[in-house]
Amino acid sequence: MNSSRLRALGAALPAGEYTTSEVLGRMTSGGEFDVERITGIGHRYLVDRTVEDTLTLGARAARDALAKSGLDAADLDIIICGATTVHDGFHMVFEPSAAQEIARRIGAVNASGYDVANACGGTMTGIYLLDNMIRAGVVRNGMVVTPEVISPVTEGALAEAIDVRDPQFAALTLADAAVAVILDPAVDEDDVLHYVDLTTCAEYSPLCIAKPSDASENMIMLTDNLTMQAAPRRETWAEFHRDILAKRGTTFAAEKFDFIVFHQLGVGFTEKLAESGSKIHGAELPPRLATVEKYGNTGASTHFLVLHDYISRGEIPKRAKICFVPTASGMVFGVLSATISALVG
Amino acid sequence: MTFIIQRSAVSADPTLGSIDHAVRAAGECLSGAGVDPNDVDVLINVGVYCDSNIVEPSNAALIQKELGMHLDYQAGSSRAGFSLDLRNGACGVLNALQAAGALLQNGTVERVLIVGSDAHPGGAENAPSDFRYAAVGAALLVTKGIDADTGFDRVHIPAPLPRVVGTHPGVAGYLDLKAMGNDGQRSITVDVADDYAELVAGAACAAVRSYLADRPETRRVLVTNNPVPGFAAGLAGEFGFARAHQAATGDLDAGSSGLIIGYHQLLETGELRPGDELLLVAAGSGPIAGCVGYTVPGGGAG
Repeated sequence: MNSSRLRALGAALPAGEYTTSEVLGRMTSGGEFDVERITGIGHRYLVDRTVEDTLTLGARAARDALAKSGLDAADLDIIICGATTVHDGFHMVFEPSAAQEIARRIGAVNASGYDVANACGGTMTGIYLLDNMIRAGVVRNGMVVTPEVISPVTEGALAEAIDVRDPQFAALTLADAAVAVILDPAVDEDDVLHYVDLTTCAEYSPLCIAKPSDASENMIMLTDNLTMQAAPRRETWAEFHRDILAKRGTTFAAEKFDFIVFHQLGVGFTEKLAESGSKIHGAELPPRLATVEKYGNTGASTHFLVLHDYISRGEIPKRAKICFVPTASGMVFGVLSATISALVG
Repeated sequence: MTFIIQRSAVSADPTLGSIDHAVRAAGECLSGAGVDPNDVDVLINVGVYCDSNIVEPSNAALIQKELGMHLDYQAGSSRAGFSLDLRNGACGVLNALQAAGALLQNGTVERVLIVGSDAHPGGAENAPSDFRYAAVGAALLVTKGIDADTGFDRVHIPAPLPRVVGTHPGVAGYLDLKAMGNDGQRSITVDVADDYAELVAGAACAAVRSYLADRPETRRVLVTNNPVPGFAAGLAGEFGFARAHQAATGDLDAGSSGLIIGYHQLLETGELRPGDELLLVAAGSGPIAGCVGYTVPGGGAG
């Protein structure tokens, strides 16, 4: 069969675990935010930037995935890094690519590599490219590694955000984590990536901008949450997915997904995404996997961190069919459908 | 299946920022090809140094918006646009071509637009005199070819040569978060190894040598980016290429758009003919290098 599969999944969390109250206790701007009540985020993991960065977290997640795959690092043909930003210590790096450095650290001596950056859609973007390259026979296999160190913009918000309407509010929900996903050719229907498709609705690209601040010595992220999460944007994923399924001659209900994973933006937002999905698809949605309460919004690593968490607790059976729904600044919408078995171990 | 260059374009006004360069090059590329922005399926931005160091959303999405390409999803649409940033220094364009080839071969897409542009994040007025990259941009529209014997060969990007952790990658480009103060939108450090010319030539020689091992014909025209002066001439001398053209952007490195600029400039000479065999080589930070063969299709090259 000319398809790829999700062969193995690894993850790495930073050493530092904090409650949301502890994080907000470091606020120096004078602002007051009830982040936990609004988003449901109670805990999160943040890097200690003196000892952890994109490269250390990425190498840990990559080794975890390799160990579960049965592959040797030297077997990998390509490594794609899907993180929003690359941090090497206190340097935010633009070249060389993080993928090459992670490859070097794990001994992937035969792998070429590059980075993709697509905000919270980075991992899905990497998988989209890798799946196409495996199906076209350009590479035999590869790894998408996403060590998302996104908390620098939280530091900016702690220093600058003033009130609940502040465009830096969303930055107070972010946290760090790495995932690594290995793909190789599918051999049977128990283990197959059915499709991954993405779209960028560029009209909304200025609604979330992350960059260095002019007002403090920090990175910041300015987000127009209300417009980004308004009803039409909540429905785009489902309209896009419905049209993909129609071209494939099927429907959401007929796909019989076992689980659905949304971007972990906040409890309330995923509720609304699910409501919109149910309306557009005209079907009940399957059980949602969610970990926003304990990990926060970990950017591009979020979907597979959720899956890793549920798999590690034995809550995902083999042959589970999972619908992943990325939602990212840009704005990027999409869907990935996969039946997984090897991933479960 | 093969795939071909439908059109290329270059933006060279040194006062422009990275987004404007990409938009101008992409716009000229599409209008020259007679292709509406909404008929592009995937936009890959391989630019590295960008306006104000914006890291989210993808700069590709901001470029896409300025192009008026797929601004929103139309329910019931048979066609949706997608864009992404792909970063690998000067070799990013080869990685983008490799991905584009796969997308076209699978029938996932019909057209991929690759754009590369670099500019100092603080604009020309804030760029120090030793900033190594030219403020330029370029675009390459690729689509399926018709003839099996023309168009792109398989992209060849070997793993980087062994390098000890902590040794210099040739070019290290970064924003120093501890030192930037309130000036991070206008700051960037680009640190170049003293022996960069040797490093980058070594990587390129290794890539070309392993490519030619399977395809020993060297009557090709060599086209390269311009990481260092004399880069193409050195490779041509080493391997005996009949002709060589290196991207020309004054004393400055063309960065992410170098290979496209090299091709476009060669095309502009009017000397390319159908059937001409090119070897496109890019090399840069890592150090890493790769190459791809391209046989100019009948009907001319765009």
